[in-house]
Amino acid sequence: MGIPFGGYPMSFFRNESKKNKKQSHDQNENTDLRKSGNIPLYSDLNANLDKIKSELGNSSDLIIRHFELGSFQAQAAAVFVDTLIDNKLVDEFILGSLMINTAQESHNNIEADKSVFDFIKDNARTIREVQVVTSWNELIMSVFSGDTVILIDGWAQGISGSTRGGEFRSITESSSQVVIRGPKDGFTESISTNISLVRRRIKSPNLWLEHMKIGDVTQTDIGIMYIKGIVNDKLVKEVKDRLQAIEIDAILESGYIEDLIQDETFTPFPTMLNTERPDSVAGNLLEGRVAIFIDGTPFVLVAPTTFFSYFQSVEDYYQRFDIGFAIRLLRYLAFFISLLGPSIYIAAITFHQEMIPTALLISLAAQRDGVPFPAFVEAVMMEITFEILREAGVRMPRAIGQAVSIVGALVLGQAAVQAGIISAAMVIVVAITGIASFAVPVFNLAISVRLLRFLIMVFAASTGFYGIAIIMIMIIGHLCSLRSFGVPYMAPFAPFNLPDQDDAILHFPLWARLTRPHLTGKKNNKRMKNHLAPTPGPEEK
Amino acid sequence: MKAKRVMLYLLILGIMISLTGCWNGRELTKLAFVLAMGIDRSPKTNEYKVSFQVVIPGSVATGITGGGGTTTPVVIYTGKGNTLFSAIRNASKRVSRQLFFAHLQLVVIGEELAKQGIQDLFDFFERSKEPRLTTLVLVARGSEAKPIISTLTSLEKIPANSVSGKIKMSSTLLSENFGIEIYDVLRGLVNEGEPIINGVKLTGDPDKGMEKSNVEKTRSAAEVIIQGMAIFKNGKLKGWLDNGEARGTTWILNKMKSTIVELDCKKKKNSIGVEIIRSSTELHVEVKNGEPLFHIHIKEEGNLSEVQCPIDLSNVTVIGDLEKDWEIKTKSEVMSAVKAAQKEKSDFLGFGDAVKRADPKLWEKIKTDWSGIFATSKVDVKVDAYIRRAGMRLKPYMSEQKQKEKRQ
Amino acid sequence: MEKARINANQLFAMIFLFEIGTAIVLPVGFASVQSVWMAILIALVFGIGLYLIYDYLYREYPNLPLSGYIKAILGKPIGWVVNLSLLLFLIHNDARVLRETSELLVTASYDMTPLIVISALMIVAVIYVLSKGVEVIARVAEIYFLIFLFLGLLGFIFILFSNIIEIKNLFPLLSKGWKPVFQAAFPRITMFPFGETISIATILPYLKKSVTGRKTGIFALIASGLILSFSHAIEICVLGPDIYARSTFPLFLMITRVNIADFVQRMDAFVILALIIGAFFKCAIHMYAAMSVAADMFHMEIRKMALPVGITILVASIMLASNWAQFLAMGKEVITSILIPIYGMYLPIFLVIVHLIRKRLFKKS
Repeated sequence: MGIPFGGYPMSFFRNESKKNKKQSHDQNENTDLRKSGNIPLYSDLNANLDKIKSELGNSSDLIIRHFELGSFQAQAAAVFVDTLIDNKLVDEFILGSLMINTAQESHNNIEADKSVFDFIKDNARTIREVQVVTSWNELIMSVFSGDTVILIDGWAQGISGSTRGGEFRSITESSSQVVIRGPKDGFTESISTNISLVRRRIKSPNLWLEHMKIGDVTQTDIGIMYIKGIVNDKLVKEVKDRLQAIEIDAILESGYIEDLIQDETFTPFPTMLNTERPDSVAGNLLEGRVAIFIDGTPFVLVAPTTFFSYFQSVEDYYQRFDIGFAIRLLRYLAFFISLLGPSIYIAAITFHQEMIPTALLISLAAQRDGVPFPAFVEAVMMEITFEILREAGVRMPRAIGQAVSIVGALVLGQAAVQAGIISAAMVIVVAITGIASFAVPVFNLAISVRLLRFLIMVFAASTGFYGIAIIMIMIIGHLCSLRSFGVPYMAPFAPFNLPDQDDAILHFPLWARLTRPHLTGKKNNKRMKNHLAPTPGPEEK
Repeated sequence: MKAKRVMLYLLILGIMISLTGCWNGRELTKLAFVLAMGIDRSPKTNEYKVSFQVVIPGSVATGITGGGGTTTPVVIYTGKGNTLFSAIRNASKRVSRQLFFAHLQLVVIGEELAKQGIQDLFDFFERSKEPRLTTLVLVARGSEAKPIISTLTSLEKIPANSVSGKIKMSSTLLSENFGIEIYDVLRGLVNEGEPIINGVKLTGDPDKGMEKSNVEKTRSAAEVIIQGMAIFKNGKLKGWLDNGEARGTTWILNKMKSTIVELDCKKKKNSIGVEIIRSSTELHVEVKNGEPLFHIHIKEEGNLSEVQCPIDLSNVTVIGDLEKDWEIKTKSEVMSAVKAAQKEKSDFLGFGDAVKRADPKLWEKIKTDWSGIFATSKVDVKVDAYIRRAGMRLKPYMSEQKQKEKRQ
Repeated sequence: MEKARINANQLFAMIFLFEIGTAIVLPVGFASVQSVWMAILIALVFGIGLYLIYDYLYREYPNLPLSGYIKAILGKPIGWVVNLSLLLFLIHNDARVLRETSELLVTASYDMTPLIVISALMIVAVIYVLSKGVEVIARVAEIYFLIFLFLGLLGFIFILFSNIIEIKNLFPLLSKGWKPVFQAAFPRITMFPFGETISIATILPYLKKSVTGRKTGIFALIASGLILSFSHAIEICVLGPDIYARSTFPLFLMITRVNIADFVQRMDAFVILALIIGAFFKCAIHMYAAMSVAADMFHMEIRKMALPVGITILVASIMLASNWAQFLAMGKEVITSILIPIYGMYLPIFLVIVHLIRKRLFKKS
C-alpha cells in the first residue's frame, strides 16, 4: 500500500475478517457503527436515506438534500455532515458541476449511452477526488470524514466527493520544542497538513506513506511514514503489526498509540519520541526511522529511539558544530544534575562530610544550624514544593501562570530560608536541579527524571554514595535491558559501535558524520561523499 | 511476568533496606569539626591530654545566617585518657556534638611529650578513617600544645588556617622549613631514618592570646610563629634546627622552593641578596671499602634581589664571583645540617634509605650499627649556582653616588 | 543456556572489569612489596596460559557452558558430582568477593552500618541485573568499562599533578632476589585474580563468533594485567612500601593524598566508586557462573536462578568468617593455595587430558 498519499479518503480497511467476527458479538448494540458492516447499499434512495437517518440517530448536523437530476429525471440526494465540510466545495460539487453541467451535456451523453451514475462521477471536475462507495461502512466513513455522498435513486452505489473542510488551527510555531535557528513551523491537529509539512521537506518518491484507521468508534486516521530504501523493512513490518493488533474504541492522542505499541510499560524511560517539529521528523526518517502520524494531534511519534536520541535537539544540526557539540555535552551534564543533584547533596552532607572542602563545609554547617529537619526531609519537602509550583505553573492560565509560579518560588524560597526552616544551600540545589531538568530537550525524558530523582534520594539518604552507586548500576542495567522496536536502548554504547559515536554523546561536524546509525539505517548506509570538509581557497590578492 | 515480579520485589527490598535507617548518616548539626588537635602528656597522671580546636560555624561563616562576631571563631575542648581515642571519647562529657576529625588540619605535639617519644602516637591517625594523611604535624617549641592551638589569630579567623598558612608561606618563600604531614612522620618513623617535624612557638602572653581582644588590636598580645625543625632520635625529641641548619636540611631533602641568601660585597658583610627561584638536589651513594660515601649535588638558580654596595652587575666576572660566593655559602649551610644530624646521630636526611636503595646487601650488613656509621660517614657536597638576572636595574644607584663623592 | 549473543567488545569489557574487580583495591602479593608489579606481570603470563586452557575446552565444545562440557567429558554421574562441587566453590568464592567488598566499604566509610545491609544492597543490584540475562550484564559492562576508564584516567591525572609520585620508593627492586617475586606470582597472584577467570568459561559459549574468544580474552587479560601492575606500582610510589604493605585499602589511602593547589583534594569518592564498580562485576560474573552451573544441574532457566543463588551467596558471605583476620587467613591458606588452584587450574587441565584421551580412543575405535 505504499502509494504516495494524494487525496482523501482512502478506503483502506484492515483485517476485514476480524471486523466480521466482532460483528457477531456486538449485534445487540444498536448504536454500534459496525452493525451495518459490509452490507451493500440499497438501490432505493428513500430506503437508503431512512437507514442513514436511523443509523446516525437523526444527528442534527447531518444534512440530506434532495434534488432531481433534470435530464435523467432521476431522484438524488446529497448526504454530508454540516460541521465537517467546506461549504464552498459542497456547493460546487452539488450545484455547480451537477446541476448546471448535466443540463448542458446531457444530450451528448445520453447518446453515448452513458449511465447517469458514471456521468456524474466523471464530470465532477471541480472536486479533487471522487470515489464510488458501495457499502454502508464506506458510506458512513466518508460522511464522517467530511465527504459529501451523492446517492441516486435506482443505484446501489454512491458517489463520494472530497469536500473536507471545517475549522483547523493554522500552522504555528511549535510550543513544546522551540529553536532559535531553524524552521518555525510546527505540526497541527490535521494529519494531512502534517504529512504535507514532511513531504515538502523530502521530495522523494521513496518517501512512502501507509494509512490505516484505528479506533472502533473514533476511526482515527493513522499514517505510517518511512523512506523506502533506508528503513529496515522488518521495522516497518513490526510497526504495522503492532498497530494492527490494536483494538480499542478510541485514539484521541499519540499517547494512546505510544502506550499500546511501546516495548515496555513499566519503565520511567520513553521508548518512542514524540515531536511537534516536521524537521525533526524528516531528520529521523532520513536516519531510517518510522514516523507515525495520528489525526487530531500535533504530536508525531518516531520509533525506534535510543536513550541518546532524547538529547539531540534539531538545533544541534543547524548550528556550527563546535557550539552544537558543547551544548550537547552541557545537556548531558544538566541531565545528571537533574537526576543526581539533591541525592549527591544529601549524601555529601550526611555521610561524606570528609569530601567537602573545609571552608564550604563550615559555611554549610552554619546555614544548617537551627534548621529543624534532617537534610533528606528538607530535600524532599523542597523538591515536592518545586514540583507543585512547576505543575501549577504549567496548568495555570497562561496570563498569570508564569508570574505566579516565579513569585511563588521566590517568596516561598526566600521566606523559608529567612524563617530558618530551610537552608539556603538546599534552595540553591533544588533550584539548579529544577532548572537543569528543563535543559533536557525532550520533555518525555525530563518527566521520567523527576520520578527517579526521588528514588535515588531515598538510597542516598540510607547509604550515601554507596546507595547512589548501587541504584545507578540498577538504572543502567534497566536501561540496557530496554529495547525500542528491536533496537537496544543504549546503542551505540551498549552494544558499542564506533562509527555511530559521531552523533551520540559526541557530535561531529557534518562532513564527518558520513553514515546513518547502523541499527536503523543499515541499508544505504552512506549519507554523503567522502572528503567534504571545506578547505579555504586561495587568498585574494 | 514472573521476572517482572522478581524485579518489583527486589526494588521493594532495596527501598526497605534503605528506609530502615541511615546508620552512618550524621547531620551537620550533630558534628563538631576539629580543625586542630594538641597532644600533651599530663605530668601527674601520665595520661594523654588532648585538646581540640573546634570551629563554631555560625561565627565564621558570613551570610544571612552567619552575622557572627559575638563568639570566638573556635572553642577549645580537652579530654584525657591513656590512649588518644579514649581521650577523644572522654572529651564528649564536655562537647555537645560528636568530634569529627576528617577536616583536621594540624596536629601539635607538646615539647614534653615529644621528648618522651612520639613513636606510639600515630597509630590512631593511621587506623581511624577520619584523619587524613595530609594533616600537618608540628611540635610546640618550649611549651605545651594546648596554648598554641588556643591562641586566636588575626587575618585568618580560624587559628588552624592561620598556622597552616604560615607553614605554607614560609616554606615557599623562606624554605627554612617545609610542610610535614602525618604521612611524612609515619614514613620517618618506619623507614631507616628518623622523622623531622616543624616547630611552632608561642610568643607573648598565652592567657591573653585566648581572649577575643587578641585579634582586636593591631599588635596581638600573643602570636604563634613557625620556628625551626625538631630532630628526633628513636622517636624522641633531641634538638632543634634553626636558620642555616634548617635551610641546609631543606636543601638536602630537595624541598627547597625559594629563599634569600645573603652574600658579602667586598668588605661589606651580607649586603647582597640572592633570591633562589629554582633548586634541585641529588643524593648519590658511593660505596668505598664497604663504607658509604654520600655525594650531594645541588643545582640552584637565582636572581639578584637587592644590592647594597656599588658593584657593576653588567660585568660577567662580577656575576661569576657572586655565583662562587653563593656556592660556598650553600655548601656551608648544607654541611652545617649534616653536622647537626651527625652530632645527634639522627639520620633525618634519608641517608640510610639511600644506602638501602643503592646497595641492599651492604645495608643488611651495616643496618644494626647504622647510627654509628652515619655519624662518621663522609659527605661530599657539590653546588652549581647560577645567577640568571639582576632585576629592573643593572648598576645600583650607589655607584652613581660614589662618582658624585669623587667629584666633590 | 539462554538465547543470547554477546560480541567481542562485550567479552573484553567483562573480562577486564572482572580481573580488575577487587584486585585493584586490595594489596596483592605481600611477600614481594616493591616488586609486586613484576609479580603481577609474571602472573599474567600464567594467567594467559590458564585462559588458553579454558579457551581450548570452549573450542572443543563451542555450544556448551562449563558445566555442560564437564558432563560431556566426565560422563553424567561424575559430571554431576563435579558440577555440584564446582557450584559450591563458585558460590563460596562469590560470597568471599561480596564479603571482601562489604568489609572494605565498612572500614573505609560505613563503620556504623551493619555489614549485611551493605552486602544486601550489592546483591540486590546483582540479582536485578542478572535476572535480565547475560546480554544485559554484558551491555552494562560495556558502559561501565568506559566509566571505569574515565575514572582511572582522571584519578591518575590527579595523582600525577599532585606531585606525590616518588619513583625512588620502587627501589631496591629485587632486594631479596627473584625468589619472593616468583613465589608471589605463583600461585597467589596467578590464582587471584587470574585463576578466577574460570567463571568466564560459562559466558564464552554466548560469543557470536567463537574465533574471537581467544584473541579478545588474551587482550583483555593483558590490558587488565598491565593496569593492575601499573596501579600497584603507583600505589607503592605514592605510599612507600611500608605503608602500602600495611594498609587494607591502599588505593583509597593513595587518593587521600591527592592535593592540587589546595583545591582538588578529598577525591575519595573516586576510589569508592571504582571499588563498587569492580566489585559489582566480579560478584555478578561469579554469580552468573554459579547460576549457569546450577541451572544446568537442575534443568532450570538460568535467569530464574538469580534470586536463589543470590540469596545463598548473601547468607554465605555473612557466615564465612567472624572477623577480618580470620577471613584474610582463610584467603591465604585455603582459597588461593587450595581451592582456586583446584577449580581454576587442575580441573580444566584434567578435563583437557580426559578429553584428549577420549578423542584418541574414539578415533581408534
